[in-house]
Amino acid sequence: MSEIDAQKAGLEDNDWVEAYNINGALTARVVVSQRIKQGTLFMYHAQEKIVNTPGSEKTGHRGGIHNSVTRTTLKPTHMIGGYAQLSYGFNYYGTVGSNRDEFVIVRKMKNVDWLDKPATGKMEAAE
Amino acid sequence: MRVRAQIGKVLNLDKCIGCHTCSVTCKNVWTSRDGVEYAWFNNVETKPGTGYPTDWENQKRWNGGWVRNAKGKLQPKQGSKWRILANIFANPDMPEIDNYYEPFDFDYDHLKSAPDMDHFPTARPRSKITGERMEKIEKGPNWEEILGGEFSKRSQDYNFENVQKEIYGEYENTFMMYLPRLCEHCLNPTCSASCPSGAIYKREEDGIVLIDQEKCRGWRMCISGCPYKKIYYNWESGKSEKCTFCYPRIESGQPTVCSETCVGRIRYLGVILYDADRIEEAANSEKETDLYGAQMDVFLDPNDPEVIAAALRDGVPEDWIEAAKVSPVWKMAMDWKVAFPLHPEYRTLPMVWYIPPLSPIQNAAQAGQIAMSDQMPDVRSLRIPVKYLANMLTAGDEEPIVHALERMSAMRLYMRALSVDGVRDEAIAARVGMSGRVIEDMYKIMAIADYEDRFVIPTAHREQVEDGQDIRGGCGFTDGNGCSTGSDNKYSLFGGKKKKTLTLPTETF
Repeated sequence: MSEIDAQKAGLEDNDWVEAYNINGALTARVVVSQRIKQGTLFMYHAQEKIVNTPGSEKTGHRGGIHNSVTRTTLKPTHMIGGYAQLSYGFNYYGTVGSNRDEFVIVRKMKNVDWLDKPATGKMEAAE
Repeated sequence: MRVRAQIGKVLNLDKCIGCHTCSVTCKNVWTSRDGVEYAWFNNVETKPGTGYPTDWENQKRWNGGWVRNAKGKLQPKQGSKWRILANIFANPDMPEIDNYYEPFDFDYDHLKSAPDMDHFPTARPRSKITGERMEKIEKGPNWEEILGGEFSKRSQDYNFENVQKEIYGEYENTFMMYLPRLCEHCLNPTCSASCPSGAIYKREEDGIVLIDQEKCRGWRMCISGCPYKKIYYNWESGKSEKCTFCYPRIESGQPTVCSETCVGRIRYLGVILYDADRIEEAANSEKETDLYGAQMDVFLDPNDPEVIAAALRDGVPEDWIEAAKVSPVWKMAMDWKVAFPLHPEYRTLPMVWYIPPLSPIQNAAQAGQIAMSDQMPDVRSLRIPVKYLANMLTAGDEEPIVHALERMSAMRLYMRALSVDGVRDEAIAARVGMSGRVIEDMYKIMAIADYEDRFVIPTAHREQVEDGQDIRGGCGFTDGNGCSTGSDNKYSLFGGKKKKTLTLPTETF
């Protein structure tokens, strides 16, 4: 994130943030950098939610990867299964229209919840 | 004249892509052990930045390297011998773990051992020092990766001295480069001068600086003495460790691990002959900007018959002299003058040299009006300010840097004319004081960089350094714990846990 945007959003380098839009939400630590143009957010590689990813305040679930905020679509090869790269997760993992712009809202996380409490059974009840 | 030989090294920053392969392979081979989790004998930093450990270049803070005192004598900046001894129990210049970073690993096991939870588990970081959970990772060996962090923090970089730095915090004007760092295997190492136990030595036959693990008592004065902060304390063995220049590989004629695995082919290894009698005078040059030139005066021309005769007299093997004649390090540092020592002002006469990177012209808006001289852009208007590179490589003297960048820029122009138009344009070469033949040689070594051109390493002569009688019954470089000598030493060469040896069937009875 550009340093100017970070200042406006009250963010400092390495703060836990949540980025979300209509497609989904992701949680990550923000890198403030002078090489990012103002008004743009950039996320490298694929953050994996099985590593160092806390829960999103917005969704109540664990934060996603960069594709969580883009629209991911299903394609026939995803139904083959058996291979990680051929798996599909709704707005989490799959073929993305990443060549299109997506608008996201970024905000500092109020509290970092790792969602690692033992099961309460509430989730199942809700479903 | 006292001729000695060293395997010198050059890193071509113009080609470094910051992939960290050097760091990772080095880590896997040398520091993937208890006690040195935080240590990177080789690390790659993003510049401008404060580096690892933080602010290491700022000797006003760390007092590393040497100073010329009021009497014109050279002494370690952290103090002379008595001052060092007085401080051995409380060294004021000692970096702490927070100046490096808290090493961590992720709790991968949790992914399969977590209890039944409402949400699937995630592997959180755990400190490799305390074993405790870490809420957030706050630092690493390249924390400022690709310009990460607020400019106010990143611009604390020591190389910004005398540079109007504010504009480099703007998106349009910012710049970056990578700086891979390892032990410099200096001609005048402050680490060895600072060691109260005399455990650090520079090998006469190949210039490699090593710490004798048997003699080291863990006083750590070498850590504060080394201005590059490339000596690390192993908290498990209680001894200091450093880059060994992969000496077992060098001895058998192979490049170091970092050089071998460099995907950008930026690393070069070759023999440099030097005059050991001139070291003190060179390191004690009056002006800091003279140090780069003074160090070049210490190097000896391997094609000079007088030097060859003196080298043979002083016991430099003939194949080493032959290797020195075709040394890529000599060519880049001395023939073409495109390579420079890292921070010569520390007065350690470092032997790992760097070729400064070319960079794009300042910005697209200026592209039409940029100063050009005979189709060549003025290197002073490149995106990376020359002063910044000069502060890093020549104690602030811009002329040698400009000269090198012009030659590299001319090489590109000459080769473009040759490969696109099929013309050997001697005029381009002449403008930078070279000939077409030399530029083509430079292109072959610096751009094509074949394995044989990058690494010219003669094998060690064992007969020079050890007497077979003395090592009879010994067991190689593992220092008596690779094979059983009846010693109960539980640490290996560098203090890691000893591997369980295979239990032979006879022993199970």
